[in-house]
Amino acid sequence: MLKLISLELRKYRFPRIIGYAAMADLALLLFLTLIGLTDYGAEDYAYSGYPESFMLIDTFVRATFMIFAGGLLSRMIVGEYRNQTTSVLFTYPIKRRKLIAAKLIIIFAFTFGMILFSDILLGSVLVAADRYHPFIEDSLAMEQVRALLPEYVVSSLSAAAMALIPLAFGMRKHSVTATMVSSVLLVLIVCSGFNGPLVSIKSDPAVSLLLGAAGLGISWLSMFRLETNDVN
Amino acid sequence: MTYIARTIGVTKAYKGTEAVSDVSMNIRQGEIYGFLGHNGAGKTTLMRMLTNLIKPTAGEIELFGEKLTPRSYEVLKRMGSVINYPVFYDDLSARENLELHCDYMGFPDKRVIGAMMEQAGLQDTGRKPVREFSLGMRQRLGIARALITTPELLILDEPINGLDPSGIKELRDLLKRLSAEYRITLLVSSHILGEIEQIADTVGVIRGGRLIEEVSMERIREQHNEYIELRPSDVRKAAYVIEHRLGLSNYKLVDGHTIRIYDPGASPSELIKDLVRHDVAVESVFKRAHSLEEYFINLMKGDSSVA
Repeated sequence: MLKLISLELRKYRFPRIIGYAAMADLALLLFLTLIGLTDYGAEDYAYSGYPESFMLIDTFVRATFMIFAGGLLSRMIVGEYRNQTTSVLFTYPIKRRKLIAAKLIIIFAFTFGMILFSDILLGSVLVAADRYHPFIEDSLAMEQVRALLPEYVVSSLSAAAMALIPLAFGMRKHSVTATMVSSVLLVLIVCSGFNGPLVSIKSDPAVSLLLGAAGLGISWLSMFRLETNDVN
Repeated sequence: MTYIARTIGVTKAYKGTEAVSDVSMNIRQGEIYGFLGHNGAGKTTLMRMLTNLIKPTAGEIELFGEKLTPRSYEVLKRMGSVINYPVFYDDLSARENLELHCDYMGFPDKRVIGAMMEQAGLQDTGRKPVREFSLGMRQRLGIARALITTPELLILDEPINGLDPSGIKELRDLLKRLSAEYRITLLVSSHILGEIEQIADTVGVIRGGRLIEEVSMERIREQHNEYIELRPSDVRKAAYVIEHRLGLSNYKLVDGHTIRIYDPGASPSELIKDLVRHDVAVESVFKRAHSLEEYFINLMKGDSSVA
Protein backbone atom coordinates (compact mmCIF):
# COMPACT_ATOMS: atom_id res chain seq x y z
CA MET A 1 0.00 0.00 0.00
CA LEU A 2 2.86 2.37 0.83
CA LYS A 3 4.28 1.64 -2.58
CA LEU A 4 0.96 2.50 -4.23
CA ILE A 5 0.72 5.70 -2.23
CA SER A 6 4.20 6.76 -3.27
CA LEU A 7 3.36 6.02 -6.90
CA GLU A 8 0.25 8.19 -6.65
CA LEU A 9 2.28 10.98 -5.12
CA ARG A 10 4.71 10.76 -8.01
CA LYS A 11 1.95 10.60 -10.57
CA TYR A 12 0.37 13.82 -9.43
CA ARG A 13 3.61 15.61 -8.59
CA PHE A 14 2.65 16.06 -4.99
CA PRO A 15 5.31 18.62 -4.04
CA ARG A 16 3.52 20.96 -6.38
CA ILE A 17 0.22 20.33 -4.62
CA ILE A 18 1.84 21.08 -1.27
CA GLY A 19 2.99 24.35 -2.84
CA TYR A 20 -0.61 25.16 -3.72
CA ALA A 21 -1.65 24.36 -0.17
CA ALA A 22 1.02 26.72 1.15
CA MET A 23 -0.37 29.41 -1.12
CA ALA A 24 -3.84 28.76 0.26
CA ASP A 25 -2.48 29.19 3.79
CA LEU A 26 -0.87 32.44 2.83
CA ALA A 27 -4.11 33.70 1.34
CA LEU A 28 -5.96 32.70 4.49
CA LEU A 29 -3.46 34.58 6.62
CA LEU A 30 -3.89 37.70 4.51
CA PHE A 31 -7.65 37.43 4.57
CA LEU A 32 -7.86 36.91 8.33
CA THR A 33 -5.46 39.79 8.92
CA LEU A 34 -7.63 41.97 6.74
CA ILE A 35 -10.73 41.09 8.78
CA GLY A 36 -8.80 41.92 11.95
CA LEU A 37 -7.67 45.29 10.62
CA THR A 38 -10.80 46.57 8.90
CA ASP A 39 -13.23 45.50 11.62
CA TYR A 40 -11.11 46.77 14.48
CA GLY A 41 -13.20 48.58 17.03
CA ALA A 42 -16.49 47.41 15.56
CA GLU A 43 -19.22 46.30 17.95
CA ASP A 44 -19.22 42.70 16.70
CA TYR A 45 -15.47 42.53 16.25
CA ALA A 46 -14.52 39.05 15.03
CA TYR A 47 -11.54 38.79 17.36
CA SER A 48 -13.35 39.87 20.49
CA GLY A 49 -12.22 36.88 22.50
CA TYR A 50 -9.93 33.89 22.04
CA PRO A 51 -12.66 31.22 21.63
CA GLU A 52 -14.35 33.31 18.91
CA SER A 53 -11.04 33.97 17.23
CA PHE A 54 -10.07 30.32 17.10
CA MET A 55 -13.52 29.46 15.80
CA LEU A 56 -13.17 32.04 13.04
CA ILE A 57 -9.77 30.72 12.00
CA ASP A 58 -10.92 27.14 12.11
CA THR A 59 -14.00 27.84 10.02
CA PHE A 60 -12.04 29.44 7.23
CA VAL A 61 -9.28 26.85 7.33
CA ARG A 62 -11.81 24.06 7.24
CA ALA A 63 -13.76 25.61 4.38
CA THR A 64 -10.60 26.15 2.35
CA PHE A 65 -9.19 22.68 2.74
CA MET A 66 -12.48 20.88 2.31
CA ILE A 67 -12.76 22.55 -1.07
CA PHE A 68 -9.11 21.75 -1.65
CA ALA A 69 -9.99 18.11 -0.96
CA GLY A 70 -12.74 18.42 -3.56
CA GLY A 71 -10.07 19.55 -5.99
CA LEU A 72 -7.92 16.55 -5.14
CA LEU A 73 -10.86 14.19 -5.53
CA SER A 74 -11.56 15.71 -8.94
CA ARG A 75 -7.99 15.40 -10.02
CA MET A 76 -6.98 12.07 -8.61
CA ILE A 77 -10.16 10.02 -8.84
CA VAL A 78 -12.79 11.64 -11.03
CA GLY A 79 -10.10 12.97 -13.38
CA GLU A 80 -8.67 9.51 -13.79
CA TYR A 81 -12.04 8.38 -15.13
CA ARG A 82 -12.56 11.54 -17.10
CA ASN A 83 -9.22 11.28 -18.92
CA GLN A 84 -9.80 7.56 -19.35
CA THR A 85 -6.51 6.75 -17.72
CA THR A 86 -8.54 4.19 -15.79
CA SER A 87 -8.30 1.99 -18.86
CA VAL A 88 -4.57 1.85 -18.17
CA LEU A 89 -4.69 1.95 -14.39
CA PHE A 90 -7.20 -0.86 -14.17
CA THR A 91 -5.23 -3.17 -16.41
CA TYR A 92 -2.51 -3.33 -13.79
CA PRO A 93 -2.30 -6.52 -11.77
CA ILE A 94 -3.41 -4.67 -8.65
CA LYS A 95 -6.81 -4.76 -7.02
CA ARG A 96 -8.77 -1.74 -8.12
CA ARG A 97 -9.98 -1.25 -4.61
CA LYS A 98 -6.40 -0.88 -3.45
CA LEU A 99 -5.62 1.64 -6.15
CA ILE A 100 -8.54 3.81 -5.10
CA ALA A 101 -7.82 3.26 -1.42
CA ALA A 102 -4.32 4.65 -1.93
CA LYS A 103 -5.80 7.80 -3.44
CA LEU A 104 -8.40 8.17 -0.69
CA ILE A 105 -5.78 7.72 2.01
CA ILE A 106 -3.68 10.47 0.47
CA ILE A 107 -6.60 12.86 0.21
CA PHE A 108 -7.84 12.10 3.69
CA ALA A 109 -4.43 12.36 5.32
CA PHE A 110 -3.55 15.51 3.42
CA THR A 111 -6.82 17.25 4.29
CA PHE A 112 -6.57 16.25 7.92
CA GLY A 113 -2.96 17.30 8.13
CA MET A 114 -3.48 20.62 6.41
CA ILE A 115 -6.49 21.59 8.53
CA LEU A 116 -4.71 20.71 11.75
CA PHE A 117 -1.49 22.34 10.68
CA SER A 118 -3.17 25.52 9.45
CA ASP A 119 -5.34 25.81 12.54
CA ILE A 120 -2.28 25.59 14.73
CA LEU A 121 -0.16 27.80 12.51
CA LEU A 122 -2.71 30.59 12.18
CA GLY A 123 -3.68 30.23 15.84
CA SER A 124 -0.04 30.71 16.82
CA VAL A 125 0.20 33.75 14.57
CA LEU A 126 -2.87 35.14 16.31
CA VAL A 127 -1.42 34.53 19.77
CA ALA A 128 1.90 36.03 18.77
CA ALA A 129 0.28 39.08 17.20
CA ASP A 130 -1.83 39.62 20.31
CA ARG A 131 1.22 39.38 22.49
CA TYR A 132 3.06 42.15 20.67
CA HIS A 133 0.05 44.24 19.87
CA PRO A 134 -2.84 43.38 22.20
CA PHE A 135 -6.20 43.57 20.49
CA ILE A 136 -8.08 40.62 21.96
CA GLU A 137 -9.92 41.44 25.16
CA ASP A 138 -9.58 38.23 27.11
CA SER A 139 -6.39 36.30 27.61
CA LEU A 140 -5.44 32.76 26.84
CA ALA A 141 -4.95 30.34 29.69
CA MET A 142 -2.72 27.29 29.39
CA GLU A 143 -5.64 24.94 30.17
CA GLN A 144 -7.53 26.38 27.23
CA VAL A 145 -4.68 25.50 24.89
CA ARG A 146 -4.45 22.02 26.30
CA ALA A 147 -8.17 21.48 25.78
CA LEU A 148 -7.97 22.94 22.31
CA LEU A 149 -5.52 20.42 20.87
CA PRO A 150 -7.65 17.28 21.12
CA GLU A 151 -10.60 19.29 19.90
CA TYR A 152 -8.61 20.33 16.87
CA VAL A 153 -7.52 16.77 16.17
CA VAL A 154 -11.04 15.37 16.36
CA SER A 155 -12.59 18.15 14.34
CA SER A 156 -9.90 17.96 11.66
CA LEU A 157 -10.39 14.22 11.40
CA SER A 158 -14.12 14.59 10.92
CA ALA A 159 -13.63 17.44 8.46
CA ALA A 160 -11.26 15.33 6.39
CA ALA A 161 -13.75 12.48 6.41
CA MET A 162 -16.72 14.57 5.39
CA ALA A 163 -14.63 16.21 2.68
CA LEU A 164 -14.91 12.87 0.87
CA ILE A 165 -18.70 13.20 0.51
CA PRO A 166 -18.48 15.01 -2.87
CA LEU A 167 -17.02 11.82 -4.34
CA ALA A 168 -20.51 10.33 -4.32
CA PHE A 169 -21.79 13.10 -6.57
CA GLY A 170 -18.71 13.29 -8.72
CA MET A 171 -18.60 9.59 -9.47
CA ARG A 172 -22.17 9.37 -10.70
CA LYS A 173 -21.34 10.88 -14.04
CA HIS A 174 -17.58 11.12 -13.57
CA SER A 175 -17.91 14.85 -13.55
CA VAL A 176 -15.30 17.22 -12.18
CA THR A 177 -17.89 19.99 -12.07
CA ALA A 178 -20.27 17.94 -9.95
CA THR A 179 -17.46 17.12 -7.55
CA MET A 180 -16.45 20.73 -7.14
CA VAL A 181 -19.99 22.09 -6.90
CA SER A 182 -20.95 19.53 -4.29
CA SER A 183 -17.84 20.23 -2.30
CA VAL A 184 -18.54 23.98 -2.30
CA LEU A 185 -22.17 23.34 -1.35
CA LEU A 186 -21.05 21.03 1.43
CA VAL A 187 -18.77 23.74 2.79
CA LEU A 188 -21.57 26.31 2.56
CA ILE A 189 -23.84 24.08 4.58
CA VAL A 190 -21.29 22.89 7.08
CA CYS A 191 -19.39 26.09 7.70
CA SER A 192 -22.29 28.47 8.16
CA GLY A 193 -25.22 28.86 10.49
CA PHE A 194 -27.14 31.38 12.60
CA ASN A 195 -25.38 30.70 15.86
CA GLY A 196 -21.93 29.97 14.58
CA PRO A 197 -21.07 27.32 12.01
CA LEU A 198 -22.96 24.02 11.91
CA VAL A 199 -19.76 22.13 12.40
CA SER A 200 -16.76 23.58 14.19
CA ILE A 201 -14.40 22.81 17.01
CA LYS A 202 -17.04 23.71 19.56
CA SER A 203 -20.11 22.28 17.90
CA ASP A 204 -22.12 19.19 18.66
CA PRO A 205 -19.84 16.22 17.95
CA ALA A 206 -22.82 14.15 16.80
CA VAL A 207 -23.26 16.21 13.63
CA SER A 208 -19.63 16.12 12.65
CA LEU A 209 -19.33 12.44 13.45
CA LEU A 210 -22.40 11.69 11.39
CA LEU A 211 -21.14 13.64 8.39
CA GLY A 212 -17.67 12.19 8.80
CA ALA A 213 -19.12 8.69 8.86
CA ALA A 214 -21.07 9.52 5.70
CA GLY A 215 -17.85 10.56 3.97
CA LEU A 216 -16.06 7.38 4.97
CA GLY A 217 -19.08 5.27 4.03
CA ILE A 218 -19.25 6.83 0.59
CA SER A 219 -15.61 6.25 -0.14
CA TRP A 220 -15.92 2.71 1.16
CA LEU A 221 -18.82 2.00 -1.17
CA SER A 222 -17.16 3.57 -4.18
CA MET A 223 -14.15 1.36 -3.56
CA PHE A 224 -16.09 -1.86 -3.39
CA ARG A 225 -18.30 -1.26 -6.36
CA LEU A 226 -15.27 -0.94 -8.60
CA GLU A 227 -14.46 -4.59 -9.06
CA THR A 228 -17.63 -5.44 -10.89
CA ASN A 229 -18.19 -2.11 -12.60
CA ASP A 230 -17.35 -1.55 -16.24
CA VAL A 231 -14.68 0.92 -17.18
CA ASN A 232 -15.67 2.81 -20.23
CA MET B 1 -2.31 -26.01 -30.69
CA THR B 2 -2.90 -24.19 -27.44
CA TYR B 3 -5.11 -21.19 -27.16
CA ILE B 4 -3.85 -18.08 -25.44
CA ALA B 5 -7.22 -16.44 -25.39
CA ARG B 6 -10.67 -17.72 -26.03
CA THR B 7 -14.10 -16.28 -25.70
CA ILE B 8 -16.99 -18.65 -25.42
CA GLY B 9 -20.34 -17.23 -26.44
CA VAL B 10 -19.46 -13.83 -25.05
CA THR B 11 -22.21 -11.23 -25.08
CA LYS B 12 -22.16 -7.68 -23.83
CA ALA B 13 -25.39 -5.77 -23.62
CA TYR B 14 -25.88 -2.15 -22.73
CA LYS B 15 -29.41 -1.44 -21.58
CA GLY B 16 -30.81 -4.28 -23.62
CA THR B 17 -28.92 -3.63 -26.86
CA GLU B 18 -26.13 -6.01 -27.56
CA ALA B 19 -22.83 -4.45 -28.50
CA VAL B 20 -21.22 -7.86 -28.77
CA SER B 21 -23.36 -10.95 -29.28
CA ASP B 22 -22.37 -14.52 -28.76
CA VAL B 23 -18.78 -14.18 -29.90
CA SER B 24 -16.61 -17.26 -29.76
CA MET B 25 -13.15 -16.37 -30.73
CA ASN B 26 -10.01 -18.47 -30.56
CA ILE B 27 -6.57 -16.94 -30.46
CA ARG B 28 -3.78 -19.43 -30.76
CA GLN B 29 -0.39 -19.15 -29.18
CA GLY B 30 2.14 -17.25 -31.24
CA GLU B 31 -0.15 -16.10 -33.98
CA ILE B 32 -1.15 -12.67 -35.15
CA TYR B 33 -4.89 -12.48 -34.95
CA GLY B 34 -6.33 -9.75 -37.12
CA PHE B 35 -9.60 -8.42 -35.91
CA LEU B 36 -11.49 -6.79 -38.69
CA GLY B 37 -14.66 -4.78 -38.56
CA HIS B 38 -16.14 -1.40 -39.20
CA ASN B 39 -16.09 1.31 -36.59
CA GLY B 40 -18.67 0.46 -33.98
CA ALA B 41 -18.81 -3.22 -34.89
CA GLY B 42 -17.79 -4.21 -31.36
CA LYS B 43 -14.02 -4.62 -31.68
CA THR B 44 -13.11 -2.33 -28.84
CA THR B 45 -15.84 -3.70 -26.59
CA LEU B 46 -14.51 -7.20 -27.04
CA MET B 47 -10.93 -6.09 -26.41
CA ARG B 48 -11.98 -4.29 -23.26
CA MET B 49 -13.60 -7.49 -22.09
CA LEU B 50 -10.39 -9.40 -22.73
CA THR B 51 -8.48 -6.97 -20.53
CA ASN B 52 -11.16 -7.25 -17.85
CA LEU B 53 -12.07 -3.57 -18.09
CA ILE B 54 -15.67 -4.47 -18.79
CA LYS B 55 -17.43 -7.64 -17.84
CA PRO B 56 -19.41 -9.77 -20.26
CA THR B 57 -23.17 -10.02 -19.75
CA ALA B 58 -23.04 -13.66 -20.78
CA GLY B 59 -20.43 -16.15 -21.84
CA GLU B 60 -16.93 -16.87 -20.67
CA ILE B 61 -13.46 -15.63 -21.38
CA GLU B 62 -10.38 -17.77 -21.00
CA LEU B 63 -6.92 -16.30 -20.87
CA PHE B 64 -3.86 -18.54 -20.77
CA GLY B 65 -6.19 -21.44 -20.12
CA GLU B 66 -7.83 -19.89 -17.09
CA LYS B 67 -11.27 -18.48 -16.74
CA LEU B 68 -11.33 -14.71 -16.40
CA THR B 69 -13.30 -13.46 -13.41
CA PRO B 70 -13.88 -9.93 -12.10
CA ARG B 71 -11.15 -10.70 -9.59
CA SER B 72 -8.50 -11.96 -11.96
CA TYR B 73 -5.47 -9.79 -11.56
CA GLU B 74 -2.40 -11.96 -11.92
CA VAL B 75 -3.21 -12.73 -15.52
CA LEU B 76 -2.95 -9.03 -16.36
CA LYS B 77 0.80 -9.21 -15.76
CA ARG B 78 1.17 -11.35 -18.84
CA MET B 79 -0.66 -8.98 -21.14
CA GLY B 80 0.00 -5.64 -22.72
CA SER B 81 -2.61 -3.52 -24.38
CA VAL B 82 -3.36 -0.26 -26.10
CA ILE B 83 -7.08 0.00 -26.30
CA ASN B 84 -8.95 2.71 -28.06
CA TYR B 85 -7.04 5.95 -27.87
CA PRO B 86 -3.66 5.67 -26.14
CA VAL B 87 -4.05 7.50 -22.82
CA PHE B 88 -1.30 8.69 -20.53
CA TYR B 89 -0.78 10.87 -17.52
CA ASP B 90 -0.55 13.95 -19.63
CA ASP B 91 1.41 16.13 -17.25
CA LEU B 92 4.24 13.62 -17.09
CA SER B 93 6.96 13.03 -19.64
CA ALA B 94 7.25 9.90 -21.76
CA ARG B 95 9.91 8.46 -19.48
CA GLU B 96 7.92 9.18 -16.33
CA ASN B 97 4.91 7.47 -17.84
CA LEU B 98 6.94 4.40 -18.68
CA GLU B 99 8.53 4.33 -15.22
CA LEU B 100 5.14 4.51 -13.56
CA HIS B 101 3.91 1.73 -15.79
CA CYS B 102 6.80 -0.54 -14.87
CA ASP B 103 6.26 0.12 -11.18
CA TYR B 104 2.56 -0.61 -11.36
CA MET B 105 3.15 -3.76 -13.37
CA GLY B 106 5.73 -4.91 -10.87
CA PHE B 107 8.40 -4.98 -13.53
CA PRO B 108 11.76 -4.31 -11.93
CA ASP B 109 14.08 -3.73 -14.88
CA LYS B 110 14.24 0.02 -15.44
CA ARG B 111 17.12 -0.20 -17.86
CA VAL B 112 14.86 -1.25 -20.68
CA ILE B 113 13.07 2.09 -20.58
CA GLY B 114 15.84 3.93 -22.35
CA ALA B 115 16.12 1.28 -25.03
CA MET B 116 12.38 1.26 -25.48
CA MET B 117 12.19 5.02 -25.87
CA GLU B 118 14.86 4.84 -28.49
CA GLN B 119 13.03 2.14 -30.36
CA ALA B 120 9.87 4.20 -30.31
CA GLY B 121 11.82 7.21 -31.58
CA LEU B 122 11.00 9.20 -28.46
CA GLN B 123 14.47 9.48 -26.94
CA ASP B 124 14.63 13.23 -27.58
CA THR B 125 11.39 14.18 -25.90
CA GLY B 126 13.11 14.83 -22.56
CA ARG B 127 10.88 16.48 -20.02
CA LYS B 128 8.20 17.39 -22.53
CA PRO B 129 4.81 16.42 -21.13
CA VAL B 130 2.84 13.85 -23.09
CA ARG B 131 0.08 16.45 -23.40
CA GLU B 132 2.12 18.06 -26.18
CA PHE B 133 2.71 14.85 -28.14
CA SER B 134 1.22 14.26 -31.57
CA LEU B 135 -1.13 11.35 -32.11
CA GLY B 136 1.62 9.39 -33.83
CA MET B 137 3.97 9.90 -30.90
CA ARG B 138 1.26 8.86 -28.47
CA GLN B 139 0.57 5.80 -30.53
CA ARG B 140 4.26 4.85 -30.48
CA LEU B 141 4.55 5.55 -26.77
CA GLY B 142 1.45 3.47 -26.17
CA ILE B 143 2.93 0.49 -27.96
CA ALA B 144 6.23 1.00 -26.17
CA ARG B 145 4.38 0.98 -22.87
CA ALA B 146 2.49 -2.16 -23.75
CA LEU B 147 5.69 -3.91 -24.81
CA ILE B 148 8.05 -2.83 -22.11
CA THR B 149 7.04 -5.55 -19.66
CA THR B 150 7.49 -8.24 -22.34
CA PRO B 151 3.92 -9.53 -22.39
CA GLU B 152 2.90 -12.88 -23.81
CA LEU B 153 -0.25 -11.46 -25.28
CA LEU B 154 -0.34 -8.03 -26.84
CA ILE B 155 -3.67 -6.41 -27.61
CA LEU B 156 -3.61 -3.44 -29.95
CA ASP B 157 -6.73 -1.59 -30.93
CA GLU B 158 -6.39 0.28 -34.21
CA PRO B 159 -2.64 0.74 -33.74
CA ILE B 160 -2.05 2.43 -37.07
CA ASN B 161 -4.35 5.35 -36.33
CA GLY B 162 -2.38 8.54 -36.54
CA LEU B 163 0.78 6.97 -37.91
CA ASP B 164 2.34 8.25 -41.10
CA PRO B 165 3.11 5.84 -43.94
CA SER B 166 6.65 5.14 -42.80
CA GLY B 167 5.37 4.70 -39.26
CA ILE B 168 2.82 2.21 -40.50
CA LYS B 169 5.48 0.23 -42.25
CA GLU B 170 7.71 0.30 -39.18
CA LEU B 171 4.86 -0.87 -37.01
CA ARG B 172 4.01 -3.66 -39.42
CA ASP B 173 7.61 -4.86 -39.36
CA LEU B 174 7.72 -4.56 -35.59
CA LEU B 175 4.58 -6.63 -35.14
CA LYS B 176 5.85 -9.32 -37.46
CA ARG B 177 9.15 -9.38 -35.63
CA LEU B 178 7.46 -9.61 -32.23
CA SER B 179 5.54 -12.57 -33.44
CA ALA B 180 8.38 -14.31 -35.22
CA GLU B 181 11.27 -13.65 -32.84
CA TYR B 182 9.65 -13.29 -29.46
CA ARG B 183 6.67 -15.57 -30.03
CA ILE B 184 4.35 -12.92 -28.67
CA THR B 185 0.73 -13.56 -29.49
CA LEU B 186 -0.92 -10.50 -30.99
CA LEU B 187 -4.49 -9.41 -31.30
CA VAL B 188 -4.62 -6.45 -33.64
CA SER B 189 -7.80 -4.74 -34.66
CA SER B 190 -8.35 -2.52 -37.63
CA HIS B 191 -11.00 -1.41 -40.01
CA ILE B 192 -8.41 -1.31 -42.74
CA LEU B 193 -8.28 -4.60 -44.55
CA GLY B 194 -4.93 -4.06 -46.21
CA GLU B 195 -3.15 -3.82 -42.89
CA ILE B 196 -4.68 -6.92 -41.44
CA GLU B 197 -4.16 -8.88 -44.60
CA GLN B 198 -0.45 -8.15 -44.60
CA ILE B 199 0.30 -9.29 -41.10
CA ALA B 200 -2.39 -11.60 -39.80
CA ASP B 201 -2.24 -15.37 -39.54
CA THR B 202 -5.88 -15.61 -38.60
CA VAL B 203 -8.61 -13.15 -39.33
CA GLY B 204 -11.77 -12.64 -37.35
CA VAL B 205 -14.43 -10.51 -38.95
CA ILE B 206 -16.95 -8.85 -36.70
CA ARG B 207 -20.12 -7.20 -37.89
CA GLY B 208 -22.85 -5.75 -35.75
CA GLY B 209 -21.36 -7.40 -32.67
CA ARG B 210 -21.24 -10.86 -34.19
CA LEU B 211 -18.14 -12.73 -35.21
CA ILE B 212 -19.19 -13.74 -38.69
CA GLU B 213 -15.95 -15.30 -39.81
CA GLU B 214 -12.86 -16.69 -38.23
CA VAL B 215 -10.47 -18.22 -40.66
CA SER B 216 -6.77 -18.56 -41.29
CA MET B 217 -5.33 -16.31 -43.96
CA GLU B 218 -3.76 -19.31 -45.57
CA ARG B 219 -7.12 -20.87 -46.18
CA ILE B 220 -8.63 -17.66 -47.46
CA ARG B 221 -5.81 -17.24 -49.90
CA GLU B 222 -6.30 -20.75 -51.12
CA GLN B 223 -9.97 -20.19 -51.60
CA HIS B 224 -9.84 -16.75 -52.99
CA ASN B 225 -6.74 -16.41 -54.96
CA GLU B 226 -7.58 -15.89 -58.56
CA TYR B 227 -10.31 -16.94 -60.88
CA ILE B 228 -11.41 -16.62 -64.44
CA GLU B 229 -14.83 -15.27 -65.01
CA LEU B 230 -16.55 -15.98 -68.28
CA ARG B 231 -19.95 -15.43 -69.82
CA PRO B 232 -20.71 -18.14 -72.32
CA SER B 233 -23.74 -18.09 -74.60
CA ASP B 234 -24.92 -21.36 -73.16
CA VAL B 235 -24.02 -21.75 -69.54
CA ARG B 236 -25.10 -25.33 -69.12
CA LYS B 237 -23.19 -26.56 -72.04
CA ALA B 238 -20.15 -24.57 -71.05
CA ALA B 239 -20.26 -26.06 -67.57
CA TYR B 240 -20.46 -29.51 -69.03
CA VAL B 241 -17.48 -28.87 -71.26
CA ILE B 242 -15.44 -27.35 -68.47
CA GLU B 243 -16.08 -30.20 -66.12
CA HIS B 244 -16.05 -33.22 -68.39
CA ARG B 245 -13.94 -32.30 -71.34
CA LEU B 246 -11.41 -30.03 -69.68
CA GLY B 247 -11.40 -31.78 -66.32
CA LEU B 248 -11.68 -28.59 -64.25
CA SER B 249 -13.78 -29.19 -61.17
CA ASN B 250 -13.18 -26.03 -59.16
CA TYR B 251 -15.68 -23.77 -60.82
CA LYS B 252 -18.88 -22.10 -59.84
CA LEU B 253 -22.01 -20.71 -61.42
CA VAL B 254 -22.46 -17.17 -60.22
CA ASP B 255 -25.70 -15.66 -61.41
CA GLY B 256 -27.04 -17.98 -64.04
CA HIS B 257 -24.96 -16.47 -66.80
CA THR B 258 -21.50 -16.36 -65.40
CA ILE B 259 -19.02 -19.08 -64.54
CA ARG B 260 -16.03 -18.60 -62.31
CA ILE B 261 -13.16 -21.01 -62.59
CA TYR B 262 -10.82 -21.20 -59.63
CA ASP B 263 -8.45 -23.88 -60.88
CA PRO B 264 -4.99 -22.40 -60.78
CA GLY B 265 -3.95 -24.22 -63.97
CA ALA B 266 -6.55 -22.65 -66.21
CA SER B 267 -5.65 -19.85 -68.59
CA PRO B 268 -8.21 -17.64 -70.34
CA SER B 269 -6.90 -18.12 -73.84
CA GLU B 270 -6.81 -21.90 -73.56
CA LEU B 271 -10.26 -21.84 -72.11
CA ILE B 272 -11.77 -19.84 -74.94
CA LYS B 273 -10.07 -22.01 -77.50
CA ASP B 274 -11.41 -25.16 -75.88
CA LEU B 275 -14.91 -23.81 -75.46
CA VAL B 276 -15.12 -22.65 -79.05
CA ARG B 277 -13.87 -25.99 -80.19
CA HIS B 278 -16.76 -27.53 -78.32
CA ASP B 279 -19.15 -25.13 -79.93
CA VAL B 280 -19.72 -22.82 -76.98
CA ALA B 281 -19.54 -19.14 -77.84
CA VAL B 282 -17.98 -16.88 -75.22
CA GLU B 283 -19.29 -13.37 -74.82
CA SER B 284 -16.76 -12.12 -72.34
CA VAL B 285 -13.94 -13.39 -70.24
CA PHE B 286 -11.64 -11.81 -67.76
CA LYS B 287 -9.20 -12.86 -65.15
CA ARG B 288 -9.63 -11.67 -61.63
CA ALA B 289 -6.36 -11.60 -59.78
CA HIS B 290 -7.45 -10.68 -56.31
CA SER B 291 -10.81 -11.03 -54.74
CA LEU B 292 -9.76 -11.02 -51.13
CA GLU B 293 -10.67 -7.42 -50.60
CA GLU B 294 -14.05 -7.87 -52.15
CA TYR B 295 -14.57 -10.90 -50.02
CA PHE B 296 -13.89 -9.07 -46.79
CA ILE B 297 -15.68 -5.92 -47.73
CA ASN B 298 -18.74 -7.93 -48.52
CA LEU B 299 -18.45 -9.80 -45.27
CA MET B 300 -18.17 -6.57 -43.36
CA LYS B 301 -21.02 -4.97 -45.22
CA GLY B 302 -23.26 -7.96 -44.79
CA ASP B 303 -23.66 -8.88 -48.41
CA SER B 304 -23.67 -12.65 -48.61
CA SER B 305 -23.99 -13.11 -52.35
CA VAL B 306 -20.25 -13.42 -52.79
CA ALA B 307 -18.96 -16.42 -50.98
